[in-house]
Amino acid sequence: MSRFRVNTDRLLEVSLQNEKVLAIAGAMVAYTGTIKFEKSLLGGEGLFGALKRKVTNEGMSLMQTSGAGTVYFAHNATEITAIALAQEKLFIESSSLLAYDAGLKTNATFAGLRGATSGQGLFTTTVEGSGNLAVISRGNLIALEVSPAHPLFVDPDAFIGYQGDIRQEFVFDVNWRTMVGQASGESYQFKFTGQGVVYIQPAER
Amino acid sequence: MPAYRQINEKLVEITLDNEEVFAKRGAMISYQGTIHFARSFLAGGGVQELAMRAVTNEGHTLMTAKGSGKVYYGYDGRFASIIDVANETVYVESDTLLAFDARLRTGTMFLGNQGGIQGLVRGAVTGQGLFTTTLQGTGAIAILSDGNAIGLPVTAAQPVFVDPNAYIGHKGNLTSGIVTDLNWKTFVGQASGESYQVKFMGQGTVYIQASER
Repeated sequence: MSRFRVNTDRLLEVSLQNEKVLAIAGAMVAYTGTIKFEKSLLGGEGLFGALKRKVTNEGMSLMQTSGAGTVYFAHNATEITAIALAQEKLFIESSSLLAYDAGLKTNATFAGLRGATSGQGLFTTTVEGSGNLAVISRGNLIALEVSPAHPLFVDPDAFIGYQGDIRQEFVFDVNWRTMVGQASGESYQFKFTGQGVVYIQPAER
Repeated sequence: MPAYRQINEKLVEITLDNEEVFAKRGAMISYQGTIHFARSFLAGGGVQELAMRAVTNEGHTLMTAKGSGKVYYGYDGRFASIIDVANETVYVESDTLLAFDARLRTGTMFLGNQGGIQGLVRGAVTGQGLFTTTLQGTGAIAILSDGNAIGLPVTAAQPVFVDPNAYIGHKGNLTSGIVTDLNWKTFVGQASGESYQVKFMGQGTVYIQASER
């Protein structure tokens, strides 16, 4: 399996031994060894998957990196976090996904009606299986735990993804002040209930 | 000799003991001790070198700091890193140069001299222009980058390939060339975004930043 290591917060080091990794097209900054870069035409999701991404706007421009050696990835000096999945499923915004093992399965799924107001679209990306992936965030990625006793509220602009048995709702905090233009700036949030981890960034899009 | 110390990711401290350093103009954040700042026209390089920089656009507006004490340098919230130079030549873009010690000899290098046609191609495709700044001798320099600067070792057995947009400089005994990775997909508009790279061979270190220009 490919190995992911984050070097100084902003650079991802991936060691490959005749394996494949998918990454945002153009994110390679350096490599050693024999490595090939190719545009991934269907993103490993087949023709139907590619079509779905086109329609849902949860698009990812990916390249396939294969060979033997070490590849360094970076993206606009944003912080990078490596996450390992062991037969798990991660929900994530496609724009936050920097690279992942070709062994992981990705899909675009309906995320509920939240997207319309948060500007993130109605769909989100799921990554499933066993392997490594790397997430980009503005500022260090923060993992917050959710348990049945402690639901979590998150600003949609800071939301990156979540993992586990979690239900997501959209809550409004609208009162007469909002209507007369005196909004607090935090009029709607995501509410997460269940058991799992939610990832956020210390910056708002 | 001036001692360089990294205070945090974005700030460098240089301790002077009756010595002199050159730095990017406006990069001084604060200082302690008795230090005089002056604009430097010649940057220790002499008139011919000044003329060379003027015509090649590898211009850098420098100031000198002279005296005894500590000077703190930072620039525009960019990341700063220290590179030690031990009787070798460092190649960097002039706009990434934050500070360097007066003992180093600066020069302007025509990329064609280094890599022939390949060097010219490199300058043209990377948008770096056809000239680069060289610093020669023993001492230290501080450079600026977007995101952390990382030095990748190059050995005879292991060449390093670098995205031209992430390249910031190199030192040691290296030769470079352009490598293309074109295939039919590139021509039907399905490029991977990594169609050409700079290959560094030899013995030395290549510096890259965690961002693409």
